[in-house]
Amino acid sequence: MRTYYDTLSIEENICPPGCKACGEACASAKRERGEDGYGIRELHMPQAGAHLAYTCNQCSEPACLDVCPTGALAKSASDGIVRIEAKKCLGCGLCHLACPYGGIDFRAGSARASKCDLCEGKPQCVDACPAKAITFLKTRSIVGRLHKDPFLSGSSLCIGCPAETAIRFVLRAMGEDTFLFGGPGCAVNMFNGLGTRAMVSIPAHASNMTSVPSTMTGVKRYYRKMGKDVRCVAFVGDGLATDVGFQPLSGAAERNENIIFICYDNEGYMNTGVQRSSTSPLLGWTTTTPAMGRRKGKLMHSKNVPLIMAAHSIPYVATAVVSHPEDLLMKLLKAKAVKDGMSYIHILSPCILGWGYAIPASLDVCRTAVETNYFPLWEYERGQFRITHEVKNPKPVGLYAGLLKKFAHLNEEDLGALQKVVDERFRHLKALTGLCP
Amino acid sequence: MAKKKQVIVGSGTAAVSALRQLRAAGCDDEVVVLTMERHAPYSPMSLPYVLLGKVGPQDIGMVADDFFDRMAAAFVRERKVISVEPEAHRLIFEDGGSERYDRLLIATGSDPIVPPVLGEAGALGFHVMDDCIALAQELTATKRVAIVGAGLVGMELAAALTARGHEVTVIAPRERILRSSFDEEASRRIIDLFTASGVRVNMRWGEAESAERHGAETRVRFSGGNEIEADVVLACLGVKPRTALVQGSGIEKDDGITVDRRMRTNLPDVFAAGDCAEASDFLTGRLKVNPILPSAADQGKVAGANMAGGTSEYEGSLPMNAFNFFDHLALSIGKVAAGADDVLIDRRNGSFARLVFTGDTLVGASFLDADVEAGVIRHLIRKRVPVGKYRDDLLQAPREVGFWLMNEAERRQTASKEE
Repeated sequence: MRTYYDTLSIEENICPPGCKACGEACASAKRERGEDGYGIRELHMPQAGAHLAYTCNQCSEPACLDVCPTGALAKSASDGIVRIEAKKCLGCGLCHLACPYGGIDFRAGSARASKCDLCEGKPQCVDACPAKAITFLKTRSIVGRLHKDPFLSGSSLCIGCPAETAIRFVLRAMGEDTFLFGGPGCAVNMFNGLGTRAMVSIPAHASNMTSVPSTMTGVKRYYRKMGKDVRCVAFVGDGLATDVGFQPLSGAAERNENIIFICYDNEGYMNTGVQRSSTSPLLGWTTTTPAMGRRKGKLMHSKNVPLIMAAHSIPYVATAVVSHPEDLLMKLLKAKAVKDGMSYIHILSPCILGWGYAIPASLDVCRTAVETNYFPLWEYERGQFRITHEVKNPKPVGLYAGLLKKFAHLNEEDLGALQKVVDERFRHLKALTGLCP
Repeated sequence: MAKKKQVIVGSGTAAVSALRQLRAAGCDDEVVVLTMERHAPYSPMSLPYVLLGKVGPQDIGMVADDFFDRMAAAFVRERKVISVEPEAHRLIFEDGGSERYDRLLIATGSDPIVPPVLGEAGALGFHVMDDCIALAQELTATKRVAIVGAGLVGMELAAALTARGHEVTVIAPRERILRSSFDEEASRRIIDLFTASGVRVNMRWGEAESAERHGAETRVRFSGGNEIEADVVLACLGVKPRTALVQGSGIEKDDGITVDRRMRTNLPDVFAAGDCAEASDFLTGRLKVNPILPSAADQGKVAGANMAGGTSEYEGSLPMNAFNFFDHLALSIGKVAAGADDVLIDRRNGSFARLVFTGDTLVGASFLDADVEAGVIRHLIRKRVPVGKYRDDLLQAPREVGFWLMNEAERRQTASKEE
């Protein structure tokens, strides 16, 4: 299995011009440990408008290791950090010559090569950066909490579909003793398979569109009676969750059943030919809300289902996207921990076919939906609303619409109308978070 | 399929890197590594630093103690191969023994060039651990050291021995030092820095013509008419590929054992890599011996992959050196001689930068005490990244502009891969 390690992530071009804070913080941290040199350096190239910082990539196949004459450089298998053993380092500079990424500091007067060791878990550059351009991604701790993937390899979904990523991620977070539920929709193919073999190694059941929550209720209650703690997890589309099966969902929420209900929202009936659903967005094209002549896609607003679910006062509600896996995982673990009622997670799941974008762009679409506040990431936890991923400078929604063919017919005025909806909904959400101290 | 027997002759960088790659490629053949040394693998590069006392001889081991066990390879020391019998797939040892092989890698490295005049008068070469031990013993009581030759090893030793308190004289046969790495101006600047640190550097003395030993003292006369007296004379006139074992075997050699891009010699099942091999040069594409550690590491890697049945190709040797002396740092990558190329030179704040371009592409660079990420510059040369209108910027701010160019080029490459 691939190993994942903690890593520094550096956002480019938000560094204040001329700032050297990261390198200075690094050098002083190194001095305190009796070392010399830098593990991160700033880079300002005003003529190209480039302002960034660079550090060791902690490569999986480090070129510096190959050329070290004394084997002083080694990559740790446990944390992935490439370290220099001071006692063995000659100070010959070959590693500095071998690294294509400027990851090894070596200069006139250097007794030894010097590089980033992530300050053994507390990188000093992170706090030193006034622009917050540097973050420490603790992927290792996330991945450490994932279980085995219960799906077989391959899937019968469209190539590049983020719903597959989502369902695999969900079940890896849920772990053993999980029952999977679904209904008519794309994702059910993931666990029923299209041929004769099942695709999933845990118990999975596909019901009618209107009976998923009630089936889950029955299974959960049965096992509770038998004295066994199991998780019942639904992974269904928006057609089922927000249209056809909405009343049973609302009913289960009102009864506060201890189930985990996850809706992957591709904003329409994508499995049956891209018809509109109640979460299809205003002005968005579908086959039943065409954009022709004066008709500009859907004329009605989408239904804000996660907010409606929160209005049931169930223990946990959240929105999520696969482009922010640490946020998604945190929410899944919270939902998993709820033992006294229902959890609902609403995952925006772009549809390559129905929304119209290039196969590799799924994650970009997710990310842009978040960065434009079209799909803010928030959670509702026992009465308190919280935005989990605050976007510092939201981009105009036109940027998001521009990625998708379903919005290709929009003019400036239409985009203004869409922006207005996005702003209003975000203000509403902000106000809800403001209610909580 | 029966397991093959892979034999590697030599235990330097190329050998170790080939073995590592062989296993990384999933090859589970029997592997035997033979070395004439009595020491565990080390790089000759480390020796000046041992002499300087910066590291102990015990700390320069290239690999961990359990390396050969982990690689499931037999490591046999003090086993000198004197000839190869390709028909019989057999190696003959100096002690009369022999070893059969299915595939052979010759990674014997190089020998220092010690002219007979100097050798007979007791001058020392400096290339293996035992030279280093011998020199360290000689040096305990003596003070005056003459270094014949002004290449990288000679200059490194001059710096190391001066730092140890010896009186050091460097004798350069010609008008330049470090010819293969630096142009005349950089060379002159480096000489000045050495002189300022108390090393005497004598230029244009020509070849050693005669040498005689009087007690503890050696006197050497040079073709230019000058002579020198010293307690220890070191010959640092470069290295020559150690190829005696292929004599008469039918394995082709020129300066070194000639190999193709897959590190194959003219004979099937025989590979060569490292200082003993003559492989293709990155800039010219012609065969050339390039006895530097990074080339040995790369060639070993390619040889290992192909010995395991792969089809890996060597991109060619790119000369490069980092030369660290008296708190100064001189770096050189790629082409030095300019010819018809464009050369840009910057001299500011006591630093020196020189870039050599062919058209839009950087083909060579050298720096003295400059703020630069040398590996990034090397990457620009290796990937032939077009520098375009940023040529002057690159000269003025090689660290920033170099990194930016590399970063943009990598990004373009990633983008085109995704499409």
